[in-house]
Amino acid sequence: MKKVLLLAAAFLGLLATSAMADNAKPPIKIGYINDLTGLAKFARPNSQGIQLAVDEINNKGGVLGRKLEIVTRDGQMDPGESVRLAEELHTRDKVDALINCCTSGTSIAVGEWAKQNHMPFIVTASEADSIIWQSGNDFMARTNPGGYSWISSSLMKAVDVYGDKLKNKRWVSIAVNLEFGHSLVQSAKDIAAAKGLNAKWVAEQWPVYDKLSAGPTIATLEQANPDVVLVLLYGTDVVKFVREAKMRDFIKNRIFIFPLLALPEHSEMLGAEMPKGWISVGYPYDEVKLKKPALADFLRRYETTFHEPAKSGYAVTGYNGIKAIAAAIEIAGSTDPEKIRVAFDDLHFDTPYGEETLRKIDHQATVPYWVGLSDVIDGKPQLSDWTEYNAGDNSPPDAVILKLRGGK
Amino acid sequence: MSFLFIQLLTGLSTAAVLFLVASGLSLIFGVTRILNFAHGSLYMLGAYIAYTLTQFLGGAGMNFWLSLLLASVGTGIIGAGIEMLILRRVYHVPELFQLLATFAVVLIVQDVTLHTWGPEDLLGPQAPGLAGSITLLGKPFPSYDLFLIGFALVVLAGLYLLLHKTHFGILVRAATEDREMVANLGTNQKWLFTAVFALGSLLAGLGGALQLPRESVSLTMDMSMIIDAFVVVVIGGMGSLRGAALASVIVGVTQAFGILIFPQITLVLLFLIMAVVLVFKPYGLFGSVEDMTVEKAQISNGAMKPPAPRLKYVWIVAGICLLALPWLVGTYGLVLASEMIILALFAASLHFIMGPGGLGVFGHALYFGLGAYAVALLTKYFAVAMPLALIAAPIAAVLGALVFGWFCVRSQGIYLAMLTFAFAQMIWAVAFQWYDVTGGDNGLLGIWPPEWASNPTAFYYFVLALSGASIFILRHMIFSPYGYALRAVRDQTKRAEAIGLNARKLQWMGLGLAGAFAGLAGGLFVYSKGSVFPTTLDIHTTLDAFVMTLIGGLNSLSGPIVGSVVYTWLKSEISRQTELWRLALGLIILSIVIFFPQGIVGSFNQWVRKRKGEIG
Repeated sequence: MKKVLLLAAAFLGLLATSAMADNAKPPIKIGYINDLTGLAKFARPNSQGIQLAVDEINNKGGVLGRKLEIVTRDGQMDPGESVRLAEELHTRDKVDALINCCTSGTSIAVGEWAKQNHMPFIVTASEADSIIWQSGNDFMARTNPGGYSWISSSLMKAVDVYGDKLKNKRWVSIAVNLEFGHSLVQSAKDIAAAKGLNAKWVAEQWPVYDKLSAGPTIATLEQANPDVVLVLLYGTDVVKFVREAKMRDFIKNRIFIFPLLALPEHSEMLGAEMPKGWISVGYPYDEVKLKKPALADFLRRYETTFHEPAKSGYAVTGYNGIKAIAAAIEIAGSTDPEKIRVAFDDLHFDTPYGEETLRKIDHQATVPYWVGLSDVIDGKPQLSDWTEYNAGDNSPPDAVILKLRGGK
Repeated sequence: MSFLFIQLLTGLSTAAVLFLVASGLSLIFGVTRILNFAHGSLYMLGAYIAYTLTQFLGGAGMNFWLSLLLASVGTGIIGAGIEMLILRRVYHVPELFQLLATFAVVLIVQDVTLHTWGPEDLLGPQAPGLAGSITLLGKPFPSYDLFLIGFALVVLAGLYLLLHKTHFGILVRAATEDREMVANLGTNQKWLFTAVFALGSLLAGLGGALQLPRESVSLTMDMSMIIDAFVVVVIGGMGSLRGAALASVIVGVTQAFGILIFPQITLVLLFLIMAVVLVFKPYGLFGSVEDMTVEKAQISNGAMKPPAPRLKYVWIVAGICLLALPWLVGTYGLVLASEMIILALFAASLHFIMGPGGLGVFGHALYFGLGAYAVALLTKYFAVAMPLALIAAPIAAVLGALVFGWFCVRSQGIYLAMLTFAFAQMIWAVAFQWYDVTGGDNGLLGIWPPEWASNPTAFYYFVLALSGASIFILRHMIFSPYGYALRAVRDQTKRAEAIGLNARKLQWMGLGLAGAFAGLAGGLFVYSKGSVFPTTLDIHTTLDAFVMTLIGGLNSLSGPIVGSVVYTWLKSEISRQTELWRLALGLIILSIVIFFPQGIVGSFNQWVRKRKGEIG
């Protein structure tokens, strides 16, 4: 009996100490939830970009005279777990803001939590636009380009390349059964209609993430005899799709729009197996840096620090996320979430891509991105014939966004 | 027409790899009676090792095939090691504990793989000479897929010959039918078990290595394969080779045509087939009946006594501590405590059906998730207030428990576990794929408690009151006449029926009761998180409940409570302290299964009794 009591007391004591530990708070704490388990290819460069920004800001004396401190947790691509971590970072680690990578579903879930708990929250690697529109709120901001922009520019590129040949065609979509896939397919349908392409959507497939049965799915899509194929897959499913589509001759005489294909996260793995001529978003940093000295400088600093090249654009958007939150805190003059929320409106901050702004209407950063054609040159995957676009320009009219955000 | 033919062939090529993995799983189960959760991990290891070997030897020509061969042999050796180091120590424990031990192996292998090969996906070479396609009925078909079909047939024939024409095979078949007899006749069981486990692992590794040309090697390969392999083995009948072959074809072909006809419910279809087969053929297509009854291991035995009066004071003190908690801990402590209490109710409901109820269910997440989704859907679509939604949660769970339970109580042993698993996975798949209603993987968000219960202290007291009352009712039920009848059915089914107890009806009601409280816990869980996700229904939630109940111990009433507190705390602490939290958790679970099969409370009680000189 005594022992039970002792045990109970010891347990309560443990709870109490763990909750009270770390009372002093000189640093500004930022909770970072990533998907290292499950999406390491995206999460690792993203976390290194974040680390680089924090180190550089701290070396210059921090923000408001306080150092930045990152508390990193692995959300494992699981929205429920990510919300639990947000709660823990808030109540236990007492973080002043949250930043995250990667899956859209976790961003939406954490965003909803952030709204309820008035926590500034920066999204750095999630494309679904419902994050900042339907589910958006003023405590959130996003530093990576959104899916609507990607799709809109991809279709623009397709029109440039194929001209009138893109009209009155049979379209099929294959998209991962996640927020990312649903959100982007819907955007594609809207934009194709708005551009007057008169697309006939004849079939759609929604494979479960990481569980694509490539063979039967492609055979089924082929049965619909499509002219244009919109592919919105990522991770392990990309390789399965590409290899199987080639083996089954599915790629012959068809137009492919596959926004994530030429991103280095996928193209590096595909290597010479990368299909040619597919419309895709890419990150041709070796060519872009020639025009953007700040990017060249960033790439150099990154490589010196981590002993590997910054091949991923998410390294930059992660870096920018920290720059944005630091700039907002500087303007707010404190870590008061209500003041940071206001500071997000039309916030200007420096990035390797040049100065960016968080749009007042939805806190989307005016970040550039590159759309072109997938290609293989000298056995190496490339993005050729690319054009630079900006996320600030390629979005629906303000009235539409306002309506999506609930008319605020 | 040619399209249908191609689709059929595609399905068969899926079936080929499934068969390799599932036949190994089935062989292992047939002889050792262990449902090896770690079989998916061996499949994954096969792929990783094959990848490394192709990098090392070069992936062209014969070296590619040599790499595959060496990888499967290597996996077989690893399997033998796992058997000798770990499984040998758990052959005597009840089957659900064995399942738990193999799950611990899954966790350990995940971390070991992560740290050996890194977190990024790896892409191996394509099969030399088989990277293209050949034309069948005017349609291109990947030649590698055709190769896989042929290869699987060769393996099937080889296994058949091995089992029917060799001394080893005769022993394996004999052990599958009656392993006591084989032991009595003087066969060294130890080495027979190790050899079968190695063979099964080799087949799993082979299956994994053969995936190299089709997909990139990743850390998620284990879980995605093991669930499919389970489905195949259960449909085919555990321990049956031809069952595994036929079921692989059924599953592979159904998936291929499911994508064509019902692209939205491919996952649901898989588990629906499994459930239908089990309802009509409770032991699978080719499973044998009699050995299951012999093997019926007691999950929990011994008469549970009402708590000693002295213990009342412990509960009073614990109650006071719980009431005073908001003054003792900070916000995080309260949030964590609320979660522990909700999970304690969840674990207590599982304990009720597994301990006194004697039903080894393996899908308790189903009722938790039904309650959770009932709350979320009612709030989202009908703006129902919290009190009403929390009444609806157990009702939804009870309805589910009664419908599914009606089928479940007709089954027993490992098949009961698998049937409950199939139902849970089915509902999980519905929640996961029915994007328009459930939001799919996004879940349903923004379901917060009303103003009066929204601050952590108020919510804590609310949870404490509801869960406390529920756990009290559950405890009360155990010592009611109904509880005694339920235990009579568990311990002596035949005698209980002879004195007029309706065994099935009693167990059915038990499932309903357990379901109701699990549903309530699920409902509360939604309000604590403000959201619901398909993960509340998935296998990890089932496993969590399971681990909490077993850590605490099945033979005592406070077991699930202690278990949920310890497990929740461990999980949140370990993941903060070390990146190797899966490894740590796996080792902890393993040591509990091996050294403290009675759980924390059970072992504590035994220690107390020993000191008092009551036993030993």
